[in-house]
Amino acid sequence: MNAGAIVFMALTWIGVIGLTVFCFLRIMKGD
Amino acid sequence: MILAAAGNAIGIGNLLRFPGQAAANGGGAFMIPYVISLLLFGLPMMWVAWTVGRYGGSFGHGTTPGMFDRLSRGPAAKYFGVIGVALPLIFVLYYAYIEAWCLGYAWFSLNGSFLSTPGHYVDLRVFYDEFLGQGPTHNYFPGLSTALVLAVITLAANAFVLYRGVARGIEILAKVAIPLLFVFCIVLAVRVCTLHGPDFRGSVVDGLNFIWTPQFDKLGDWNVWMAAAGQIFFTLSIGFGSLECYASYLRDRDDVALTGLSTASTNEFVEVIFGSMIAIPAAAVYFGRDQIDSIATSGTFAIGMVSMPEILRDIPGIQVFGTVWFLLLFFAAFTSSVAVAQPVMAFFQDEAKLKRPVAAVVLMLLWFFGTLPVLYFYRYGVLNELDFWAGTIGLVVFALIEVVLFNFMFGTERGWKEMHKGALIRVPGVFRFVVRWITPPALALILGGWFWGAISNNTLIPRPILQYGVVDRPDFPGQFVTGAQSGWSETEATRRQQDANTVLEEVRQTVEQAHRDLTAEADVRLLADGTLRVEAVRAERALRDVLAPAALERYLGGLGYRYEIRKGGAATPAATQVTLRIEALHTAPFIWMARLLMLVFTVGFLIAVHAIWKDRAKEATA
Repeated sequence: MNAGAIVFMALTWIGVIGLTVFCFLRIMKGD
Repeated sequence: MILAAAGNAIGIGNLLRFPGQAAANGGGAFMIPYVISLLLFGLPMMWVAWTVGRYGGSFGHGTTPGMFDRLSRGPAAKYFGVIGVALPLIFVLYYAYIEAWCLGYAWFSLNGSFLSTPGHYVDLRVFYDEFLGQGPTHNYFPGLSTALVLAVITLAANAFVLYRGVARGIEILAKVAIPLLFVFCIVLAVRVCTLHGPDFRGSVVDGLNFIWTPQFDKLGDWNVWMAAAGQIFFTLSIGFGSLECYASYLRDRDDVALTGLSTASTNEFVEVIFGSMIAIPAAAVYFGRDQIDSIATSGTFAIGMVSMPEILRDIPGIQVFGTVWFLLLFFAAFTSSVAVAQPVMAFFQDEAKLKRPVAAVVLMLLWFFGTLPVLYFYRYGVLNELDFWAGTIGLVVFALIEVVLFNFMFGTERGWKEMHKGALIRVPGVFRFVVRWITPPALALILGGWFWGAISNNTLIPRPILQYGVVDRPDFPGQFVTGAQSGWSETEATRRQQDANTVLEEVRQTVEQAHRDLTAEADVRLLADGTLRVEAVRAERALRDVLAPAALERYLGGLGYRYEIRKGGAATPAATQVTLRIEALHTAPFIWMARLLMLVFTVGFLIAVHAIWKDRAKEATA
């Protein structure tokens, strides 16, 4: 894979995974 | 609630429509507007939709005409809210048909219909087209009867759920099916990553480079921006009125901020990771990078529907794995169609005061008769037309109206306070600025830019399409492909493309003058290098002059249409005689019919809203 594709893919993946993990942890924490 | 909303959001939009849109709009060229649209439109509108829904629900409104009426108190807002009832109805007309495809492919997996055997080779692109009645050949399906039976079964299942009101049972089942779908996605993605070697026409890296290499030169193309914004709304179920309908059951103490964010993030997780790791890389592996464009342009959902069976038929035990996979996909789509139909049901029940069984019967009648043209005239582009207007343009228009009402009628400050009632998180303040000052003008700009481009380039006027296919396709183990050949220079490729376009334009004009479909059949010889020599054409009189053998050869040669043996094209076929069937389809009447259908539904709901509110006003004054 070319460098541009790797960087773009990595950033997008980190973003969506980070957001999902944050939401999951916040839901687990509850009120 | 989050699980239900996420279950509603995960499915066909992520795994079939996203790769189709990404491929049709240039891969990496699509992904930059897509990510920007998620941040500037998707997340803000998610919060707005949940907030508007909960607020409207506190006044007993489950659908957007009533909700918008409450947001502004002006007389016009309720009419704009009609879009949030008409769109879901238009949407389910074609969405249920795609559900039926998944059910069909589960059946085909079980009975091994798309497995190749010696002497009978299944080209999945042709298989998919013929299943839907697209293309001039009948190698694998004699007609539309299979698709029709599957559509009837799917509609009956939807009718049963809506009539009996067992949506709750479906949600419970979704809690099992959606995680299972997730596990199957992992298996398929891992399987795709292991596909490499000289036996394949391309590689996974080709597919990943295609979708993830940023292309900044396409950022000025409004069509790509429109497709990206539309896909974000489609996949997050924003703009259908269904999130508002869900949220209307919530109370002030219930959270909408974290719920909205969780719904979006779960959905995007599946879309960005699995949507990009399965269909497009698989298409690059099996068909080659150069074929992705032609597959994608044959239909929005084509790339997923042809590449997924390709992966599956390489996996031992396809009968079980393939059947379960497509059944899960069917089920995910089924939960979505039931959820999206809810605003229509809620409108009939809450506003028109129909009893649930009556509302379900009225909806199903509209649904059934609306789906028939989608099914029978698929080949004329009716499904893609509905998907374009309802699944892209309509969603953007509705989102723009909703965000304008939220900011400038209801008030951003008031809306923000409303959003944070019972909230488990604080939405970052930057989004308050985005919702008020970025989202509305940016959506308006994309709509305006797209509209200007469409008018300037006359792209809204339907033109005839030319389709062709090889008779007795199962006799050929290789594949017929289009695209520039390796020996062509860029100049030669451009010249040949122009040649093909000249022939195509002449055929189109002939069809437009004849006002009907025109057909032809050609005797073609496959040369040793796989290219085609047209020896004779038997065409209808009207088509004979513009589609002489030399012209047809120029057209096919311009597209680079040729035969390649399956694995890499290293060997060449022996010269073989084949018959090519050609159809020039007069699409205009069917495209205009689809547009009229959408208009009729929208106007019908407008009249209903007008009558209902007029009656209420009379009752209030009496």
